[in-house]
Amino acid sequence: MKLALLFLLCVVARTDPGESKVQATLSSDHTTVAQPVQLQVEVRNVRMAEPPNISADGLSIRFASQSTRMQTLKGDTTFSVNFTYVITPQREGTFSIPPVKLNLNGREIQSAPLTLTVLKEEPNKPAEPNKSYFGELVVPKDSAYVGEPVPVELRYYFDRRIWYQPYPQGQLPIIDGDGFVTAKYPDPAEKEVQMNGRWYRVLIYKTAITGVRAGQLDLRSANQEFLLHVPVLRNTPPGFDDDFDQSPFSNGFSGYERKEASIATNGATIQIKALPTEGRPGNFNGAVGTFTMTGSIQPTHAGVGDPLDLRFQISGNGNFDRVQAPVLAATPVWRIHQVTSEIEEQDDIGLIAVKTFHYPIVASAPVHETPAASFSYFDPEQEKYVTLDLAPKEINVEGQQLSQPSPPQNPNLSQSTSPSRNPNSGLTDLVAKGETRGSFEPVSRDSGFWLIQLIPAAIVVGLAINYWGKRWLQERAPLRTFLADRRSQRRKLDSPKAEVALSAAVRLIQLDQLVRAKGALRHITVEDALQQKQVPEDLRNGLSRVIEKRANCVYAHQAYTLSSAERTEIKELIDAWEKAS
Amino acid sequence: MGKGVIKRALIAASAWILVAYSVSGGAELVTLEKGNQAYREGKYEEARANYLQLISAGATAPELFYNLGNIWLKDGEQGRAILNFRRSLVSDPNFTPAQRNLDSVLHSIGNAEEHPFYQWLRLRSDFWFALTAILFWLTAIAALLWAASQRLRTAGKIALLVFAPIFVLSLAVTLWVGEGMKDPNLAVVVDQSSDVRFGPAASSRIVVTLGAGQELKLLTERGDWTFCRLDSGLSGWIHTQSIERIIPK
Repeated sequence: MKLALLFLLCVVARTDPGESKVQATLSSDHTTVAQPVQLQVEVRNVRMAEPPNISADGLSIRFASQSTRMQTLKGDTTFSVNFTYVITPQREGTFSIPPVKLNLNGREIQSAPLTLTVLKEEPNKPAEPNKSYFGELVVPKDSAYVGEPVPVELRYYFDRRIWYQPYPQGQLPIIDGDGFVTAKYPDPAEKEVQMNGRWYRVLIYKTAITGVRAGQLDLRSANQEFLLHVPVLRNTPPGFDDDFDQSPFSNGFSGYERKEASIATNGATIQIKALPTEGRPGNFNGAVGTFTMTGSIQPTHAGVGDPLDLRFQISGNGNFDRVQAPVLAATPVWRIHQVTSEIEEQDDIGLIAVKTFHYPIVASAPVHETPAASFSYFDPEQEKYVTLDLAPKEINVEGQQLSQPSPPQNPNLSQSTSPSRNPNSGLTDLVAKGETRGSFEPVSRDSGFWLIQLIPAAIVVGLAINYWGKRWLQERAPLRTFLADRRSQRRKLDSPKAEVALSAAVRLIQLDQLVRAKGALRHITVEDALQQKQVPEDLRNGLSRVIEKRANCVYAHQAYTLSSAERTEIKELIDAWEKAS
Repeated sequence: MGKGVIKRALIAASAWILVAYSVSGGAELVTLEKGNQAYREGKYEEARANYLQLISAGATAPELFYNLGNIWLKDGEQGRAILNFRRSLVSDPNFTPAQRNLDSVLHSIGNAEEHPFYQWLRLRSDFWFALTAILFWLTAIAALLWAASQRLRTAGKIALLVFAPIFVLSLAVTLWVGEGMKDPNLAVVVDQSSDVRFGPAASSRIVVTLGAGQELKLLTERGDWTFCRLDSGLSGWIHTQSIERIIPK
């Protein structure tokens, strides 16, 4: 390390200082008001630390930075100091920047004087192009006719290091103004441009605006919302870039700031002129632009009654949405059916296109030429109406004339009850018949509709009852039988025959358990019934005695009579049995 | 005597209903015919007055709105023509002359239908609602047969497999289109162009400029301004006089 320093000192010590020189250069010799330029002052082979003082009337000159450079070439070493200044013009005019003078031990060296031309700010340019982001509305013309589409560009400039996206995503710019309609927006294009020594990414929306009424059309601005990630910059002089300023890898910023920004462009004015009424053709439908028309027929040989495809192509530049089907000359031979059209756009916004009209036509008699066609439009360049007439095409249609040739097309109103076609406008005209059908009432609010729903509802309910009702009845059939039996046995308790009354009592003991099982149990012995139910012991004993009496009476054929008190006791026992849970 | 009185009362009531029906229906037809006659003779103002009188009386015939749309079109009022063609189609979605003229006018002003299939569905919202109801009952009956019937169990199962997916599809369409074009809050722009603004004031910033015939949904009204939403999702305030509801109030 020490050796290296010694070597460097030796080199510097034996260096021939060479010729001292001072040179001043401007980054641009012309600019606009408030648009800064850069002044470089290079001092060669003079050691100096302080920047030379430079001033000029009408210009704000501010020192920005300093750098040094040492170069050794074939043993000759050159040493230079670069001073950078920012010059901001304060008014328009031509300014002289005085030479930079240096005094070297009595010898004066100086640079050449410089001249800076300052122009007025361009009106169509955005107000502050030096900003990190701004918008610009580019309108190529200042006058147009009603219905004439004017292509416009909405440009949004962003410093190259700013990350941006329209917010919300997919949001399109809104042009502030009224009295015009906007064409569709294709996907925006993006490119990079250098402006005033600074690199920008430009997002370009293209569209076309069409004035709908005569008068001055003021486009106040075009606003677009963006979500930005703006780098937080170190404090660099405005208006020029150093090598770091544009480098994504530099350490010129310490992070990103996320922000939403509504960027408005400059405004513009277009004088919208009314279409002249003089010389307006009868078949003019509002097409404005420059158009050409071609026609064809397929096939060229056919028989009477065969459908043919008569085709017209209108191509050019204009408002194709207003380009209507060409008007065909009325000929009694041809039956012309509904016209269809298709459009092939050849630019982003649909101003340049080819529109094809298909006429399905049928000849009702032999014929050798198609109907002539004409199409009218207004040419804004020539400022007059133009009618394109297409001569009939040759065709060979042979065969017998149809029995009922179609009537000639009548552009006037039809007196019939069926719709008629108006070939001039492509519209169907009056339908005279008036029927009182139709309704604005939604069916969901129609009480009749809901009443009708009762029919299927009744069917569904009927089916459900038919199935589940039957099933329920089937399941309850044993229970119903047991209940009926119980009522019957109750009555038998009062029978004068002791055997019958005792049997009824025993059966009632069984039935109580069967009824409680709700039909799940079909049979049970009286002993089991007595055992399964939790009852007081005296009740159980009383009932056992009843069972025994009945057994003696029935199986031992013992003659037996029941006293009134015994009958009452048996009834009380049965009641208690049934009430016991 | 009692039977005779009832019989006479029934005859009198029937005659009264018949006369009342023919008077009301007949009067409408006569006025419509009068309007049509005026139209044929080129007396468009007179025809329009007749048609508007019918509409204010509650007439909903598609031909009526169709003819009225044609008159507005002759006057260059494309927005009102579109409104009436739409009304005609709402009244009868299969009324092809109105559809043809609507397409033609929309095309001529560069405002063609953006979603023709959706519009087709919306015009037939009643059909979808009724179809869904029918399919619901068919599905319910099929499910019942499948679950309950021994004899028709297989037939019920097959019917359920057929009807249930169609019902779900139909229900989805019904929910999607809602009341369709019969939504009383749907409106169209009747002026040549109208601005939708951020606030209910002429000095407010413009959100978007709408052309004649563009459709929007009305949300609320305040003074001369109506808050509305567009198909694109944008919303804002529009001057009430520049719009008209599709379903007349």
